[in-house]
Amino acid sequence: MLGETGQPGSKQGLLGQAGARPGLLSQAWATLTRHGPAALLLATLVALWEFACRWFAIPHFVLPRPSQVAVALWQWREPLVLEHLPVTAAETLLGLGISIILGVALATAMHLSPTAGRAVYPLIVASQTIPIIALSPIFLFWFGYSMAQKVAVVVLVAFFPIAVAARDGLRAADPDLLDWMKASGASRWRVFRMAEAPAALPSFFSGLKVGASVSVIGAVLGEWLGGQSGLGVFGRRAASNLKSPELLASVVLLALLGIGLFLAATLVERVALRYKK
Amino acid sequence: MVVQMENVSVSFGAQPVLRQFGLHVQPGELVSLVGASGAGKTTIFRLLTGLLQPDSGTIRVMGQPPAPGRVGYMPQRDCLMPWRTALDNAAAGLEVQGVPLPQARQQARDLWHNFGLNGCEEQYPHQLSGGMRQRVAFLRTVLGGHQVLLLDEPFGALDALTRAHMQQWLLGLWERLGKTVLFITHDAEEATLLSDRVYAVKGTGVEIAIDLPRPRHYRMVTEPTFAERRAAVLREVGLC
Repeated sequence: MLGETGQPGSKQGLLGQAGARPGLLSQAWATLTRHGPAALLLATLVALWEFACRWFAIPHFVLPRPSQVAVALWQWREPLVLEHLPVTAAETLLGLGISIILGVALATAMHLSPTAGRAVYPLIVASQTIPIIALSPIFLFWFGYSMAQKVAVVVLVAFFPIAVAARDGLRAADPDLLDWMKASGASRWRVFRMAEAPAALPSFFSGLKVGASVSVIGAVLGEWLGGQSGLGVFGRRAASNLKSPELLASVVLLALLGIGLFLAATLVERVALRYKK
Repeated sequence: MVVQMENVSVSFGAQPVLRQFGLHVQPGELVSLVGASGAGKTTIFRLLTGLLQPDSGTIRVMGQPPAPGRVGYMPQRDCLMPWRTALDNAAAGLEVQGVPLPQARQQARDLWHNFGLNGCEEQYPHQLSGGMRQRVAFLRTVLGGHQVLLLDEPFGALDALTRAHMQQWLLGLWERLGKTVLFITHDAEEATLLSDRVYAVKGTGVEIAIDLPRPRHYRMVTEPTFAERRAAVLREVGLC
């Protein structure tokens, strides 16, 4: 008999027999609806790009077809992935790590000492008005063609969004909560540790995600000025030989590196701000 | 006397907020401050917590000048920390005084049941109802261990039913804890139901004794004697 008996053929039985499948299916559907539109748009753009290059017979050094980029990526996979990507990734991660430490330390100092804030904040803002590409050669004089030169450029571009976001976050703590803590006799350190620092986390992570994304740009800028290895060095060499597919192959890896860092920052953010779920 | 204010005046710029204000509270009393917005009620609490200094006058809390950490203070909003669980929010009342978190948690757990909070230890503030949030905030205030508690419109944001329930709950708890409570409210009925005395705040303070028997219950609000006391409060506030 059909019905809610749990027997095969009944409504409940069908659901029961399926076991975890409805859950898996709904998860797959949720993933598809979340990422499907972006994937579809990307696929459409790539297809249009391929079609346009073929239709208008665009020379490969002006604009290579996506298929040519894919071929270059495959042909150069070993030097790209084993030699150049690790160098750029190391420069980026090291620079980003220093940017986090420097940015958070400066933000904390500016927050705890209004005098330090008034002194340092204009300098931090001014540091961003300098065209980094113009300033970067100075790092060559200081550090030579070393990793330190690339890391310095990464820090210059990545620490600003982190420092500013962390400072804004520290100032965003609930004033009534701060009043309650002061009225309760909390020390300055306790107010910072219990209220201001946790309240700053959402803003800090926004800055970190921006910093993580631009840190890759910093590493490439540093490598373009000179060096032996790195995706920026590879891309510059390819460009000077009119090998645009190889140039774009390195760009694809750089984009993946940036996306990976952004996702890693998002993951850490989700863990740290799990109370928001 | 655990709280004493004599001839206290406070101005914000050219705007006088309190003029020659006086108040006194005996140990174990529940005293309410009633008045319109901007009448100076919260300013009185800021003076008593040491967050604000008066322009003139004398203030004593437990025989000493006010200073942070000398009284328990519950702000108008519950001010729970969204990143902390309910238990850790309550424990913050001790943690601000330097008690290590595990020890503070244990002390919060010991009172958890008395505050009707069973089952929500690990919930975050956004997962709690308004009434439960106020209970957590009140426990946080009580855990501070102060004899004098300042409650700034703790039930102001609650709906009428929850509010009535929380008033009854507060009365029961106050009778058990034996604390001295100063309570800010806009509501003459709430002040009359809860208090031994009411101060109508209009820059100055006018004292009204609420000589109704204890223990009190919400059903008293329909009695003629209650209506008389409430009318007296409303009259002094300037509403009738």
